[in-house]
Amino acid sequence: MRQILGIIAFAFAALLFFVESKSTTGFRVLVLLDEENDKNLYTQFFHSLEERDYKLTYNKLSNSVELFSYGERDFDHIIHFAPKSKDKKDTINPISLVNFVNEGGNILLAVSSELSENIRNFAREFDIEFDERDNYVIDHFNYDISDNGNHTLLISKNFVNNEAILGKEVIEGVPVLFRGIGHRVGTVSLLTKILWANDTAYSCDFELMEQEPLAIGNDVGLISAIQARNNARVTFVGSLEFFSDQYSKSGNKALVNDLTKWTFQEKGILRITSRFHHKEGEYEQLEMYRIKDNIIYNIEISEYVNDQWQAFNGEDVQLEIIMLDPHIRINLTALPVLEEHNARKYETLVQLPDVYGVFTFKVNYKRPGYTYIVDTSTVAIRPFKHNEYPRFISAAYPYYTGAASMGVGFLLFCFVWIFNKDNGKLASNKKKTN
Amino acid sequence: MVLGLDSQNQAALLKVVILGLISFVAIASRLFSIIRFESVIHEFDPWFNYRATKYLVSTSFYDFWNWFDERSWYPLGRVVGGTVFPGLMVTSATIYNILHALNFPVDIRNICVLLAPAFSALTAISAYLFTAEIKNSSAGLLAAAFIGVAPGYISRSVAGSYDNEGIAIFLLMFTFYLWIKGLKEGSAFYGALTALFYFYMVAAWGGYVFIINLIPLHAFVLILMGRFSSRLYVAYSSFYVLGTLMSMQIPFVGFQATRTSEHMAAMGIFFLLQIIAFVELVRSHLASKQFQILFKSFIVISFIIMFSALVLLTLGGYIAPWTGRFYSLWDTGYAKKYIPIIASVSEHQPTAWPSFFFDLEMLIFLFPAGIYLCFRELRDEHVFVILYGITSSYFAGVMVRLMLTLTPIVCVTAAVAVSHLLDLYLDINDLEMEQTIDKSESSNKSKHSEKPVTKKVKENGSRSSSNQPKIKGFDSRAIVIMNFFFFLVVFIWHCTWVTSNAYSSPSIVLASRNNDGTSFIIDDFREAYYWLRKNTDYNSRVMSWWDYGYQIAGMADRTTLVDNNTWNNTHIATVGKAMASSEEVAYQIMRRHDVNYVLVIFGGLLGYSGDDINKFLWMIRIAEGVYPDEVKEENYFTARGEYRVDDEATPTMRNSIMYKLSYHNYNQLFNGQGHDRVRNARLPSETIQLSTLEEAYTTENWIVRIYKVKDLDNLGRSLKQATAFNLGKKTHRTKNSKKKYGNY
Repeated sequence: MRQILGIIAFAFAALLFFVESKSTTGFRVLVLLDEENDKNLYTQFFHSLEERDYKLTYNKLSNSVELFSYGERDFDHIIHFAPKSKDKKDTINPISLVNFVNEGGNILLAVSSELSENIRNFAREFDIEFDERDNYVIDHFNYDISDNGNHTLLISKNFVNNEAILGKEVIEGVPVLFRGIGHRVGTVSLLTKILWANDTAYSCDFELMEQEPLAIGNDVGLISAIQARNNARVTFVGSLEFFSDQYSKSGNKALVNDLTKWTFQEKGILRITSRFHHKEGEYEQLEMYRIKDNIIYNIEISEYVNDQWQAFNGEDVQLEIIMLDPHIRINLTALPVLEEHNARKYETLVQLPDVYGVFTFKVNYKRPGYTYIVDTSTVAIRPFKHNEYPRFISAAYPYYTGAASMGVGFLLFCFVWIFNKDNGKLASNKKKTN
Repeated sequence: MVLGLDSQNQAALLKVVILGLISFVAIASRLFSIIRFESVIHEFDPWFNYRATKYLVSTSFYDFWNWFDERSWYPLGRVVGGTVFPGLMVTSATIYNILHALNFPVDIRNICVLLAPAFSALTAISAYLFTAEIKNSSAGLLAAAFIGVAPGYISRSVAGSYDNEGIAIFLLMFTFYLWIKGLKEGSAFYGALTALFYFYMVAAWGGYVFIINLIPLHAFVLILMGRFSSRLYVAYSSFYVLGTLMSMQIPFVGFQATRTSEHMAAMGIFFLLQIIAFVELVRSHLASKQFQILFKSFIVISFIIMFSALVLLTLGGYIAPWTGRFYSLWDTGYAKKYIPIIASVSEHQPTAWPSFFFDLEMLIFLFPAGIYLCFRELRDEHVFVILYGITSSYFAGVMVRLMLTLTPIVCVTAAVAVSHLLDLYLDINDLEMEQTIDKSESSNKSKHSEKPVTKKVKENGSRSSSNQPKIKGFDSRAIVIMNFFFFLVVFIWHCTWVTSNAYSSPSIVLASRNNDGTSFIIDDFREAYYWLRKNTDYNSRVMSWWDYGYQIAGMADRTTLVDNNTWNNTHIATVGKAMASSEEVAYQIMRRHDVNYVLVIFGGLLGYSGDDINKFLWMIRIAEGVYPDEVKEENYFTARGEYRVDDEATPTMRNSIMYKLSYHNYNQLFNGQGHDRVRNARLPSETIQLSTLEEAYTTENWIVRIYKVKDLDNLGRSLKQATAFNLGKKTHRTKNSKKKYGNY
């Protein structure tokens, strides 16, 4: 019996090992397309994903597909290449997609200028406003030579300078080609612009030119992403052609590679491997400390780089000790990494505040592109116990003397009283007789 | 000769038997609540006492002494050891440990439930001892019987009412008995015993201040009456010095015993007594009239100096002035103006006149008669009874709660009056004596010869004095006695009725009657607390109005923001502000305080009038005291100054989360407009939308409603937008953003 169990366990582990993709969250990808044949336009792109061990499921949007079964996600990521979808009764609509994100799923969404209202509504929930239908981003100064005269095939090198999202080669590499719709990025702090247009660009309908443009210059977003509070990532790309095989010769291929890596949780992933706090000189994590205790707080963070967990290299991790407001905010010192250890330890020695109450030790590390790290542990900080105050302090000597002299005086008085009583009586008797 | 005992022993045996029966009756009449409901802890404060006792039993005394409770007053925590009167918990824990040492595995809950009835038996015995010192043992038995069943005392000592008062009234009476005894005998031993029980009282109840002011007052009045004696000196000095030193051992009192105005009178009288004693000593050695004048002026001057020193020290901040609770005893409007949190407690309201009769029945009429009889004799102890009677009747008039301190003295004086009457009308010796007097008068008619006879009478019964009128004839006696017998029977009847109907409800379980007369138990509170206990995370924080803090901590075992301890007015005002403001403002406060659940009490469906909407005005007032710019009471009243919840309710009222949480989904229950039975109002027909909170649980009769606080939106939207989106509403932003851009 035990052998069978062992074999099954081994088989299961092996299976896991084989199908495990490079992503930290999963390998199941749902590809949504407007037409079945569309997948032939992006063969290189899909092939590169399959090379990275993703299991792609293609689906025409008009075919209904369930994102959830029994309340669990059926897919880990969605590649949404179907901007024309209109039917509100579809199983895939803004609400189900938002639910998918809320449940931790990642979405790579690319649109063309023919995007439907459904997609626009969905993007609006992330504070991203796509331009009107049939509008394009136009730039009369920075366009590719292969452009057809509308100046809509832009070249841009305005990458976000964030190595958590894009690799160094991409940032310093060749510009990318982009033909599509522009969007305006709102004020939600979770949003990051990844690629935007040049100063001379504007987003408009190139035939009529009557409308005010949605955005001009650098405000025209081409690729933007949001990392939700649950670390699910959604990337909006204003161009479907961006992924097509014909553009792959320019910088697009490298950018798409990094973009999918980031969106599908292969890059910029941090995790806490351990967190520990204890009194200085003791090695036990307590739930209650005393005011003014010196404690040592440490936390270990590792980063997922090149398909494996490594020590994180950030230097700016902070610890906050909060009761209503932060009472203490202190930098954690990054310690050198031990060999064979895949996490970096951040540590500090801190004296707890002179206030009792329930405090929260919080490491709140949120950097664009990186997974949010919020780690809280609640501890009570109690006042001194009755026997923890200092004894025999010099200020109290007068009181000790007072108490001692009182005691001695009382004893003396008792002696005098006891041994003189008879004499006293005798004396008074004598007086009386006299 | 009964049982082979002489008459003295028979009387002693009878006394013991009668006292035993009285104790039994006192305990038995307090058990209604157990029989009607079950053996549970009642009300609000007892839940904390019970929780603290459990903590004490499960840990050690020192742990309890240093207990820092991180599960109440989140996130401030409460230093329980330093803010609690530990007497009650230590008493029950001692009983628990003794019983367990004797291998009686009694549950701590049952000890707590039955502690107050047990101590009421002791109260009856100490009332007997006290009254026996005032008058005689038969009056004592009457007093014991009265206090055993008087509703004024039962109201705080039924089974399950596990509160400080339950043991404090016994301690009060016993301390006063020891004080009278010590004063009578001039005994340092009794003075020290007084101090010891005073210490127990300090450990048990904040009302100890009454003792530490009444005894000095008694001493002071005696001095003014020219009754200074070495007995007074010995009794008072030993009591004060030991009592104060011991009371300072309680952390909650600490240096207050020497530094606050409440305790200054006792200290002043102590110094005054020393001066007088010194003067008396000197005078006994130097008998000269000039010296007497000199010394009298010395006393007056020193009194003035001490008083002015007191005033100066108070002004200089060395002595804390009277606390707000005590100010409200002199100026009944003070609390309402300055400390709404004290005024908001119903038991701090002035007493309504009918409640004197309700709580004391005929005793309240006999009370003045008893005081009058004390004036007739006016020995030192009678002065004490008079002072106690006057002061406590004033306090009972100011605060409902202090009816409790009035009850014992009313029982004592009423017993004196009744026993005096019964002595007159029931004494058969009188008939015989009349004959002897007649005889002696006939033999020699001089007044001189009457004395031995009256002396004899005094020795015989020591009840009637010679100058009292004698009652002749059997009929007049019979009528009066029958009448009083009837009164006493009605008294007992009334007491039992009041106990059974008014004071035996645990208030966590409500009972009502169906139309067919069967009783109907409403157990919503325990249902809700049990739900919290079983369905929420152990560390989740529950926000509710402070009334329910102790119950949530005790029954649901969840962390609370505020509770009945009310030590931090600002924190309570913050919760009040959250309840009184709109969802957006409240959400900020709740996030800041890590609130997971909000609990409100709603009586509209059942007609339970003690619900949160009725308490809401107090929340607003308390919040306004701390946040006058953000919460304004007038915004919750209609233009005509009415407090309404229906269509005419003000927008501020309707936007407050208290209103929303109370009436959320209430209209659906009625398929239209809901009807609030407490305020007798039809609700607005529009449905209430919540975006930052979601309903988690509502009890069977809707009395308790629990809401869960939502997390921040995952996508960074406002929760209002997120809720609207989930309901299928589109976010319209195109036009707005274009406009914005156009203006730009």
